[in-house]
Amino acid sequence: MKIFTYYSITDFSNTYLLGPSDGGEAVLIDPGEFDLGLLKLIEKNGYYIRHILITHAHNAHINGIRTLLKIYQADIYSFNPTILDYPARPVRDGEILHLGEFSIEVIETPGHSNDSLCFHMDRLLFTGDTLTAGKIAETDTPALKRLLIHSIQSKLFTLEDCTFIFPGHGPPSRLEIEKKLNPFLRSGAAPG
Amino acid sequence: MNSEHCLPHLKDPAAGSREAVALLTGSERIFNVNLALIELENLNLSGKLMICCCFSHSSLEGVNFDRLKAETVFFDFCTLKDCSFRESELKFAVFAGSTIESCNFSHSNILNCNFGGAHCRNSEFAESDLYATRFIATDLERVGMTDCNLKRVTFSHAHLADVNFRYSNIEDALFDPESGLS
Repeated sequence: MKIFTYYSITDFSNTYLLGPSDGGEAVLIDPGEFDLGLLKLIEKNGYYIRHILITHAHNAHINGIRTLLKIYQADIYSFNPTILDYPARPVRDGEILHLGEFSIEVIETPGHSNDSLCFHMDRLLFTGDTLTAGKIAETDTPALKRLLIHSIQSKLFTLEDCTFIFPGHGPPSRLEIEKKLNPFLRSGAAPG
Repeated sequence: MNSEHCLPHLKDPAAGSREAVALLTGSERIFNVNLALIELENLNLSGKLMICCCFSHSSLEGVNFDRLKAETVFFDFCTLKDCSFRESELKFAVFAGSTIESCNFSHSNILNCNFGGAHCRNSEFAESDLYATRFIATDLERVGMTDCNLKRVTFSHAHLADVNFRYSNIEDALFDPESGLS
């Protein structure tokens, strides 16, 4: 298995490309932008995008879908039944998606948005905006912030400490780091 | 990171460690290896390419990583002492929770890296591009960041003592503790 991070300089977001070691059908997570650089990354590694996972339907995470679907016939998986008017397969908490050689667990983490999802596979966790290095997502109200923190602590922090975090923005992290060092989540931190 | 076991959990950790050193010194390109909890001292690893490697909880002293090209490499909760990363290209590298003492990251591109909660002392980042790197809740003491690109660099919740930002675009860095995502 190979994983690639592609950084969009227009929306400052991360797109993740997951594929088998020797090319073939691949998974793209949060195509916030689809440009020549991402196309080259996919093609150079011999991949065909068959599955698109969406952590939440904010522009910085979905804007590349229009171009992507002109090139690849891919299925979209998200909380919502449509993404940018394209049909998507709605997924729910606890569901396991069998996408090629990958088995990916869906974790609902509402708070930043109603449709926020994380995707968990082995020791990899794709968190969208929910949890990023040293930060948590923005929320509209204190109640939503409490909901977000509850989502993180009850559903993500119960995973193994050695789990690698690949967020929708910013650098990667590990669960051990966020548990011990995230100023918004350290024990004793005010939930807001 | 694909390796099933980190060194202390191998049947023969000493042999595993020797094997790891041989891999690091003997290969120019190092991919998908888990070297967590390794102890390295006075090693020359300059000019290596590392992708998806894990050195979490390691002890690295006097290691020369000059001209390192690294992407998605984890140095979290490490002790790094007298290590040099001069003229390196680091993307999505993680130094969170580490103790960084007398290390040199100058003349490097350190993009989208994570130094969250690290304790960094007597270290140098001069003339480096630190674009979008996060120093959230980091302790920085006697650290040189002169003539650095600080665009989208985050220092929220950080403790800065005797940090030299001369000639750097400090106005482009984020110091607001509540600065979040849009």
